[in-house]
Amino acid sequence: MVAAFSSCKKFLDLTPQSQVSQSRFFKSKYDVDAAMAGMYSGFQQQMIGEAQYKERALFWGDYRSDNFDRFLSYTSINTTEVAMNALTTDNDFSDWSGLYTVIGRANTNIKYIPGAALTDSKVTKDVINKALSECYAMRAMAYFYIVRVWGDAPIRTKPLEDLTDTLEKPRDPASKIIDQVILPDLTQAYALVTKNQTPSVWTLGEGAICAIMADVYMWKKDYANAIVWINNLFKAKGPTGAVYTGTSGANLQPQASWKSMFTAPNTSIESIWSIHWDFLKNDCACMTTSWTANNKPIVMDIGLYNSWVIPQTVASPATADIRPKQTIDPYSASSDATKSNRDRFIKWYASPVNPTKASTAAELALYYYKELPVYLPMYRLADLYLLYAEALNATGDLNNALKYLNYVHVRAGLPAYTAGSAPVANQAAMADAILQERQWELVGEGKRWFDLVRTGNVVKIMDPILRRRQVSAGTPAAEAIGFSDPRRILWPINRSVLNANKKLVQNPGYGG
Amino acid sequence: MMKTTIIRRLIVSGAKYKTRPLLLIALLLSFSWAHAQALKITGTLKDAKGEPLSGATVSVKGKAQSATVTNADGKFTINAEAKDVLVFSHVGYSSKEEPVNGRTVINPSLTASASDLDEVVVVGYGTQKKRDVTGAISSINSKNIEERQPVNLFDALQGQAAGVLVVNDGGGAPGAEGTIQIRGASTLNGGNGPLYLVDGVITPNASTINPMDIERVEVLKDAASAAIYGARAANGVIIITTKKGKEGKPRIDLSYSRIFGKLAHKLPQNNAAEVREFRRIQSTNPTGSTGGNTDSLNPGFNSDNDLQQLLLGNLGDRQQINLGVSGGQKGLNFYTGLNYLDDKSIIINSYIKRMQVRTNVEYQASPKLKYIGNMSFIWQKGNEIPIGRTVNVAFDRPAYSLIYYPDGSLTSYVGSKRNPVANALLETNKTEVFGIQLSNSLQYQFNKDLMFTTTFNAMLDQRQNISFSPRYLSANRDQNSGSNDMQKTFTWEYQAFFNYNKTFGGVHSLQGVLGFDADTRRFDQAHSEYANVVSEDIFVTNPSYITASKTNTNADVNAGASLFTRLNYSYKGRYTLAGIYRRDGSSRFGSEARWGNFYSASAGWRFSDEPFMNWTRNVLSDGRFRIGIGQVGNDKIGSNDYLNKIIFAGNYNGVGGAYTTPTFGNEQVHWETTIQQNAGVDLTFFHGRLLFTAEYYIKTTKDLLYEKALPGEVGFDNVKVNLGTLENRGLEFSVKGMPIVAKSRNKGVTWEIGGNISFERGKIKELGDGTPFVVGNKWYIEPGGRIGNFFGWRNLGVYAWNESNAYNDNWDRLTLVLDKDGKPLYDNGAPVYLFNGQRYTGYVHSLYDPSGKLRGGDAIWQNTNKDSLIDDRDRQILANAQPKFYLGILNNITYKQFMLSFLINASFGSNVYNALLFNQSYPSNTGAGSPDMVYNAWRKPGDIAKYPYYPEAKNRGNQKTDGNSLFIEDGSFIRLSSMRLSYTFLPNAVQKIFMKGLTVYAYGTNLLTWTNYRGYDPEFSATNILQPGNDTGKYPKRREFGFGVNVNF
Repeated sequence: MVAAFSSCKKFLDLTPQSQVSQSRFFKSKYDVDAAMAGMYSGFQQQMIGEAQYKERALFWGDYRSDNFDRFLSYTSINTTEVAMNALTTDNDFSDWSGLYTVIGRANTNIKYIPGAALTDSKVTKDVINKALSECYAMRAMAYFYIVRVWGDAPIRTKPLEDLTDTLEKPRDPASKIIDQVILPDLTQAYALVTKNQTPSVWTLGEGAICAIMADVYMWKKDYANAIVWINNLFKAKGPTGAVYTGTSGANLQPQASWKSMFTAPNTSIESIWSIHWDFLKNDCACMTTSWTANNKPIVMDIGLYNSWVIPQTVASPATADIRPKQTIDPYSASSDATKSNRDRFIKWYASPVNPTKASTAAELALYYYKELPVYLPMYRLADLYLLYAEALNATGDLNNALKYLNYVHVRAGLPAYTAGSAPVANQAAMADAILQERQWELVGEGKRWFDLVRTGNVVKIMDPILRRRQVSAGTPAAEAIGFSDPRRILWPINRSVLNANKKLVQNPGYGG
Repeated sequence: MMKTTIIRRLIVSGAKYKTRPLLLIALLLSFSWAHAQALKITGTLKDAKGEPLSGATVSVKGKAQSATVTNADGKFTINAEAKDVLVFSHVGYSSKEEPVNGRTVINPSLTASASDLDEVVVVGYGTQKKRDVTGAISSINSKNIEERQPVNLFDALQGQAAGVLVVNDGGGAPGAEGTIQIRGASTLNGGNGPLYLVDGVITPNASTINPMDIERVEVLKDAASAAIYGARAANGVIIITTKKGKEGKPRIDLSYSRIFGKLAHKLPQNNAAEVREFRRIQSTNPTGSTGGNTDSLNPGFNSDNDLQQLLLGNLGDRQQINLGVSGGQKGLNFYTGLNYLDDKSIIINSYIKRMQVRTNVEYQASPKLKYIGNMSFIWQKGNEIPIGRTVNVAFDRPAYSLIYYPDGSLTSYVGSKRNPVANALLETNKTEVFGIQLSNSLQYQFNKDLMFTTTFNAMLDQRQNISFSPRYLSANRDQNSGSNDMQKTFTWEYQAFFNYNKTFGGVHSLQGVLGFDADTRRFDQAHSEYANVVSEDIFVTNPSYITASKTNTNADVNAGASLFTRLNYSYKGRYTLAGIYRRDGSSRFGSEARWGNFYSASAGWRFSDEPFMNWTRNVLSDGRFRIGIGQVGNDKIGSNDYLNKIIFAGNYNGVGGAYTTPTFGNEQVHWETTIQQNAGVDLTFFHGRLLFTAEYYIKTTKDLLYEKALPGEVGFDNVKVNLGTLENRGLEFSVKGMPIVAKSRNKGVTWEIGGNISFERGKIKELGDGTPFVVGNKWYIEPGGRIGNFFGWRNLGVYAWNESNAYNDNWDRLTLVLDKDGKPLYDNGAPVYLFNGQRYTGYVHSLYDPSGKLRGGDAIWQNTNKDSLIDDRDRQILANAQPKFYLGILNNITYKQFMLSFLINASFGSNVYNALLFNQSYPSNTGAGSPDMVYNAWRKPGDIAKYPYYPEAKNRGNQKTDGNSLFIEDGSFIRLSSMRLSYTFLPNAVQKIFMKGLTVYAYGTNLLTWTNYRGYDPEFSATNILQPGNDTGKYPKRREFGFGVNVNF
């Protein structure tokens, strides 16, 4: 019996059956590739959604803005809070843990990937540098979201190895995160990346690093550096192998094939970085802004819809803009055009350039069927052109700013703004025109809210919109509170996040 | 034979003589012969102390009709033949047999049996006499089980034992089970169910055991008894012993029963007229398009289907056939039980068929060596209609939804909603289960004191689910999909142990057990899904149609090993002591934390045996006090949660991802330990006519296995740690008595009644690092709180007027003064308010939602934190889902050959979140609404209402979906849960048709329920221990009436 008992030691040593112990991983190139895919997959799940209607890229970057509103019939507490500027600490999208999961994977990869070279000769220096470059850039990107959404946050740049490590850390100032993590990480990523190579549009290459860097400097209002990094971007190669150049409208995707940036970003000269989502592997890309027939809690805001989409539905619009009817389908449903079609968001799917009537069932099945991939653009050249225009305008170079604004404006089929005309007469007007162009060009790409915050326009633009929504929700105009507390530009920190780390302090404006 | 019986009857009872003249002729014909054989026997029956025993039954063995009763002096007279054997029996005494051997005077004495104290109780790796048991053990025998025609173990055990809360889902969906919780929730993890042992071996899924095979059930409730099962016994142990054959003539028991069930009660639903009214409520502009045209001429509203009736209103029909064959000859006995169940639910196209076979064989190979083999097999197949497609849908679809086209064919989608009848009829969701168990034991008796037992048990459980949804049911009738899921669980267990049993000097008795045990469990799963297959006649996964992202296989393995010993000492049965030690190892923990030690000690004192208690003996036949303390454990965490692991999941741009699991590995995590102190008293009165047991316990779970949330910033979600303490205290009483005892089998009524009541108070003493958390948006877990606390906002009604949202500086509500027209009274442009009957002139505060000021028609919420904002900080604990006490009362009333038995069970103090009513009241635009909503919604300023203004229900936090106190209801209930009236034919009557016995009966289940709960039924099980009492639309129980027949050959 004693003998039997001592053999129990072995008997109870069972290895996991469906996972492997971490000590047996990071040994080969296969492991490195899988770990990198795991990191991207974490980011992809955050952006496009680990479940139906969880596209955080848009909850953070778009749905709080004047681009979108809740759909009253199907709204949830979460979406009502987002649309009504009534966020609470229970809101699902106020949880930053998912981004920190991505950061955690990047941290683990940065620490362990170089070690794989010891056991696999295929893990060369180039392999390691490419992987590390992407990890640093990804970590920077995740922190950039955190800074823009919540402001201050704890800095974590090492993987958790032991429960005796410090688990709870207080929030570091947003400026410190930008200066001590995001910018150094991006610098490191840029140093490690092999220049002038044709990157994959799905991963963080030279162009993507420059684009993020420019975006971060824009957020810092450091226009000089933003201009430097946009110029660095122009030197890089896009996914088609062509250099971005950035000298004219011809470097953008042509008007006729505007849609292909979304449906096939790897073939577009304009693409910089898009998130890959394959419904076969990743399941339905069930974003609220997608063409699914399901009851969607988010629709395009009636203001944008009426001012931008509806005018394009008449036989010969006063100004033709190719984008609205390729962004949203105002015809597809038979009932009230002002209401039910605002949820038919079709930007991500191949669709006719200028439809004039509802698509047939056959067309719908072809173009809009929900079992299609979705490639959410994180950065593309038009975005950077407009950021460039914004930076140039801010530094007083109105002529060049107008040039880059017009490249995008004209590509959409609209007549160019003439220098000195009212919409672009001065710095302020130009800034508004750029902001307006960004709204039209980038609606649904998770940019608008950050644009409003960066340019200091949140309260100005959102206050009347929120008043309108409050009144339509039954509040008399006199009692409507509008945007109310400007401190609520930052999101609250989720209750469960606060509970798990008692050193965190809630953002002001949201109570305890 | 018949003649002699008749003669005896005549002699015993003069009355019979007169009533049966025909038989008298028979008597006369054979009188002389019969008379010559009979002896008239007289005597006095006394107890052990020489006191005469009155009312005792005296009968001739094998001739029940000969029975007579002793008179007040214990005297009796009976006729018997010289070779007969007399049987003397009396309640509370061991019965005694006396061969006549030609005597005519017999003066026997009976020893007090003190009821069931000589019963042998199974205590784990051995047995004990009930009188020596020092722990808290409840026993249930086959008689108690068979009387209620149970379908599963939950039916069989409900209400039977104090401290055992059986929540029975049976009677709803066919094959539904339930949960058993012993002495309150003792862990925050899964795995709150007890450990099941069937014939000594661990059986993960005892719910599939055939209740008719059960000989007895022991519930080890306290740690003093359960510690022998150490690490897995934290939630108590249920030991099931199945039937064995007996030497002698083979016995064949055959029973058949059939029961019909209907929906116990229907819930109120909107008819077409009420839906029309609901449409009017839904829209700010009732004639606008949103609410649909509510005009009475709109033909769309004129059809009136009763979906509840169509989906749930069918006739349930359950048939059960049970065959038991048993017997044996010297050295060999066997028992085979076969059960077939065919259960059609009240839900259309929902059924289950089950076949179970169990064979138990015991073979005495030599005087010292015995072989015991148990084999059981189960096959089960059923089709389940998911709740989401029946109960919920029945309350969501408006009554006018078209179900059938005029030609009688089913509709598929109507108004963008599925037709649930078509779903139920055309979809497939079949599960087929095969289970087989083989257990082999050898027992070697070294000498009369020492025995060695070794057992090997192997179990295979294989289950397959096939689901399919045809094209006809999809929105455009062009897509189908299906899945195929196979699960296999293989478990084996080996145990070897010695039992030692010796009495020294006639007064010291010693019992010991020493042994070891090892087991492993391996689980495999293969799951595939497919879509848009060509043929809808076959349900297999073909490569061309596979849904790759949902197709996977999975595996898990874990093992345990242990060493255990138990020692019992008894001095004359008056003083008893017991101790248990078990050392357990589990593969679920890291090598440093793998082993745990579990101890228990207990003692009993039979104070009624003390000389100073002699004076009570006529009333108190036996009295004993027990006390015990012990440790048991729980290891229910994931199989390798102590390791940092890489999971292979996610896919990016065609490359499979790998990353660390969300759970951080913790090598230090170890057993959760439950320490339980128990004190009990067992009293037997009037020689066993009244038994009383009371128990008090304190159950403390330390080092709670707890999924501690890690700060998300570290890159992991959680870690399994040992943090926190739970405490349960409880008081249990059981009473069993025979208030009325028939004078004899033919005369009078016998009434047996048993009752038990359990009070439980549980609380979370310490929790992790002290941080409360909310589970499922509905329950609050905090130190000092209870499991099952509903968390949310207290609903205080609806503001009648915009001006009603008015409070003083202390946030007390002001009373709005109305003018003579019933409108708010204004003075100087401001509304007039009263506070405590006085005019209020101070500052008027108002409450706000983050999106705006609350208005007339908005819900009023209690302002817990006394600021102007109603937000998440105003949540509070609203009620608790767990019962404060529960009870069961069992009755058996026997009159001659009739027996009536019934069970009442009740539960008090629980609360239920009626999420079904919430969903019914706040459906999607095209839903039906609830009558409660239609009749109680605010519609115009001034309305005193229960529900807010519907068009703005989604604004300003009016709904509070998961935390609205309006939907919390009292879940207390009293239920007449089963009743059976049986008639057992006299043996001699059925012998004519070659039977030994025949019983026919009528029975019913779920006959009456008294409750204030407005949903279908307040009793339902929860899958998650932390989330009890949430009624999202559970299958309603059936009310059933049926009949059955039992035959023995």
